[in-house]
Amino acid sequence: MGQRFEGAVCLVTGGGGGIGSGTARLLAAEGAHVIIADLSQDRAQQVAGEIREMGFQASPHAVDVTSQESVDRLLDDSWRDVGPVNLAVTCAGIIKIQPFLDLPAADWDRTLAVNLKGTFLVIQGVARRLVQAGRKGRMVAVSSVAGRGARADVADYAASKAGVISIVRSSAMALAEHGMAVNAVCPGVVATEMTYAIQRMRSQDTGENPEEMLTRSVTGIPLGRIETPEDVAKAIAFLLSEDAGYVTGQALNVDGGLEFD
Amino acid sequence: MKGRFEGAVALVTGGAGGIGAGVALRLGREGAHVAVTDLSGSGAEVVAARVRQQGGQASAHALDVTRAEDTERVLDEVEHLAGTVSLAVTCAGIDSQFDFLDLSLTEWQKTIEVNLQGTFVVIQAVARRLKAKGGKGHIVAVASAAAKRPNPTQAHYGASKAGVVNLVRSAGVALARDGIVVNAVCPGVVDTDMTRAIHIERSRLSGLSEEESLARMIQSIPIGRIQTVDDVAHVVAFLLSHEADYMVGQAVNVCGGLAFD
Ligand SMILES: NC(=O)c1ccc[n+]([C@@H]2O[C@H](COP(=O)([O-])OP(=O)(O)OC[C@H]3O[C@@H](n4cnc5c(N)ncnc54)[C@H](O)[C@@H]3O)[C@@H](O)[C@H]2O)c1
Ligand SMILES: NC(=O)c1ccc[n+]([C@@H]2O[C@H](COP(=O)([O-])OP(=O)(O)OC[C@H]3O[C@@H](n4cnc5c(N)ncnc54)[C@H](O)[C@@H]3O)[C@@H](O)[C@H]2O)c1
Repeated sequence: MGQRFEGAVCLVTGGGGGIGSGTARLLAAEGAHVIIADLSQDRAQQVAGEIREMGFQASPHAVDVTSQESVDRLLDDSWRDVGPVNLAVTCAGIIKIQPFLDLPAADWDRTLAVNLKGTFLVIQGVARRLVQAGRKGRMVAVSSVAGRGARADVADYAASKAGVISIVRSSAMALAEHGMAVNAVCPGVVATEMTYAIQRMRSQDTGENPEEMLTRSVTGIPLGRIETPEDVAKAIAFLLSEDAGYVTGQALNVDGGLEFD
Repeated sequence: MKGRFEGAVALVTGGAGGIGAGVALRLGREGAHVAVTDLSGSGAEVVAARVRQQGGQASAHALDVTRAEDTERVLDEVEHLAGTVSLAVTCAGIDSQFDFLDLSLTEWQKTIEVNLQGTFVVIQAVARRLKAKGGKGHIVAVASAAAKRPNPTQAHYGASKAGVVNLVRSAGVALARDGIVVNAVCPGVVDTDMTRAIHIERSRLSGLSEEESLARMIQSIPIGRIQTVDDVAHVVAFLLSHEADYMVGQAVNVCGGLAFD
């Protein structure tokens, strides 16, 4: 594929996680310097270390995306130490399974803070600095098929992901005149720690074996196999590339055929 | 990017038109043998010659996509000449402008026949052959942002393209487990003959000059410029590549922010 991202600096929040690290590896292999930002400094360091060992460029950074101050520090440090952050991917996210009637307001607030406010703060922070510097950029937010459909046992998560689709549209409209594009991907069932944790939580409620639950949910995917972080990363990389120059405000379902609109 | 389609045989319908020619040239540059087909055989020959001029391989074929026998004949020709078609892009399409109350059944039927039935005929014929050979492939239908918006002066066109979006979902899911990836793109306002003809016709309905009619349309595009055929061809190429293997039945808006969902 050549070096689509040579010279670019790409922030990946949740970069210590499954989708974030997979995306960071792909972008780094195509020439970007990736900033691996995560709540877990250990995982950020580990992923950045692995990427550097492969001979590519990466820097770890701790961040809590729910805090404006923390996001500002991340962006200011990155601009100073690495250079203008002109690409960003927001993968930081949390999920917790619980029956709708038991969902505590505090958990609602926490999920919305990480998944939705965190996405807003990063998009706005990256865009403010680029506009000020008169530079262009491209961003991709990781939403979810849960943002498209109904989810009885993760109502807060589904709402946060629908919100991500909305903030992507609004920010894309606001930033188009500055030469910036913002899009989203909606992955389906991805082989990451988050998915395994979901199966464990659901199996605790039903008494079912977590592996069997996962097999059953994979059987429901039209394409017939679980999604890999690389499947998601390829679509993200496309949306960050020049080839997607006329695509903005969109949410691409990359889900093996689970959702459409 | 060079060589993603090395050794593959690509069929492009409506290949003499603006978007079809852009797609044919792009696929030729990336190594495919391009079977350029169009209702106008001489138009197809001109585009095939351009693909060859830039160092690619191409053949030209007269094809009316509303005729299933014609499609089979051309697929036989292409198979004999270059091998089984594993990439297909359906760009053949027509449009016309009528006030809703004046839209005739003849015009409605003609448009549905070319845009919707023609797309069905080609997708099914290509997929049947591929499946019989046990081969995998990628198909992209060119729908339109009109599929997702109200079209007071082209209700027939909008309905035909909305039909294409749904056809692609069904075909995408039906063929996913055979390794045949079917998706669509929804362009917005592309700088082609079709767009110029639309604004000549609209000026007749609205009393605005042709230039004013197009200028107002362009002003409404968030990204602030008319779309080039390359803007479309880049995304088509992505959806034809292995980068998009986990996308099933999706209709990707490539429209500068004119439409969502
Ligand atoms: N796994 C799936 O099936 C799936 C499907 C659709 C969407 N997604 C979304 O993809 C994204 C990545 O998920 P994943 O599967 O890689 O999960 P993951 O749990 O492997 O990674 C998530 C990462 O986000 C980090 N994080 C959590 N809170 C944070 C905060 N406040 N600030 C900064 N970082 C924080 C975590 O430390 C973790 O490293 C998430 O937004 C998730 O909702 C996942
Ligand atoms: N131009 C736009 O703004 C725009 C926007 C969205 C979607 N589209 C769609 O993109 C596709 C290509 O459009 P374009 O702008 O390149 O238009 P175009 O008029 O330049 O090309 C259309 C081509 O289709 C061919 N064709 C017509 N009827 C046919 C038939 N029965 N069998 C085979 N070929 C036939 C024509 O000969 C022509 O070469 C169309 O489906 C159109 O609806 C165009």
